Amino acid sequence: MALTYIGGEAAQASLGLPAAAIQLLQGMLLFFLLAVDVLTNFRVRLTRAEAA
Amino acid sequence: MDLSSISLTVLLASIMVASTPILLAALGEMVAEKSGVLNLGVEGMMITGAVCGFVAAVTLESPALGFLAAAIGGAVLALLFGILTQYLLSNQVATGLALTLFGLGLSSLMGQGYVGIKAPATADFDIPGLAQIPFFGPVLFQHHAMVYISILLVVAVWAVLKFTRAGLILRAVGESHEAAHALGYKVVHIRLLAILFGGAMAGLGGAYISLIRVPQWTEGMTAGAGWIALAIVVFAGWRAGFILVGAYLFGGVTVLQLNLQAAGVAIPVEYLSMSPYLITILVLVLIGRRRSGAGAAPADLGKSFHASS
Repeated sequence: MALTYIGGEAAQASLGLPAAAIQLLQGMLLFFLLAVDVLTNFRVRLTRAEAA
Repeated sequence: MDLSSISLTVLLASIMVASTPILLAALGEMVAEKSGVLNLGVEGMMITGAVCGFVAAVTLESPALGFLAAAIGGAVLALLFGILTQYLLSNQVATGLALTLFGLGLSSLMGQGYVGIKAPATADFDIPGLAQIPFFGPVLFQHHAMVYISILLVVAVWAVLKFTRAGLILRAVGESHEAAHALGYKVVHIRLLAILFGGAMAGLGGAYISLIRVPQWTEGMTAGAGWIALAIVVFAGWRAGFILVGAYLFGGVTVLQLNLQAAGVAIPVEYLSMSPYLITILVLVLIGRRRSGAGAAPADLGKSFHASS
């Protein structure tokens, strides 16, 4: 997270990105982290649909 | 100090205006929490609703469509939360906080071209007959339609949760998802619907701020209203009636202390500013204390459900 803050400030300064875009990116980064967290707890296995 | 400058009619009328966004957001969050989902992203959904509503209302020049867009915007953000927590089983607290971060960023990005524009004017909806009553008319019956809708929604949510089969199923899922699953209810689907409802309500609350209360767009304009809504749900003990009391109490003390500040009362401004939070929490704890048992958190609040475990 700290890295995204520093990188975000650098992006603001050099690319002229609005601060909002960086905040958005941080939120998205957290989402991706949380989403793939499922892979540490579960193994994905492709199976046929079971009869309910 | 000049207390006579405060008009009681204007004061009471502005209390209803100030309380409505918190009431809407808190009511939606209560339904989500009743189904066992702790969504800490209320603030993010509110501000996204505020900007979606504002952008739609300005471009389409219709406040009603603005409110519709706000509800959809809030629900879309809630859907993101729902997919992450219900299908990808992520931690609900962390995801909720990420949703707030994401929502704040998204809203200020979306609203960049809209700073300083005025929202299209909305007419107050005077209830015929009742609005002409002296004193009570201006206080209670001369507001925007959203104020009445919010009150009706309180009654509707209370009645649905208490008397209908759908409400019973929702509460069952929140109290014990294992038992509800064993009975054959689709836990994840029911929770997803509750999350979407919560998002739509938070969006409506946000749009009320950006379209009627202020009415223009500024970054971060919800200013913590979503967090207050979350706190009110807890202190109201997950009961719709107490949420109404809590939201109006908070809105009331906020308006009152602003008026007292303007009147120059000899209490430091800092104490006045903290008074809404203190008084709301104190009163809700005191009135909620009497009945033990009622007003407890749903037993499976914040727990992820995975069918095969």
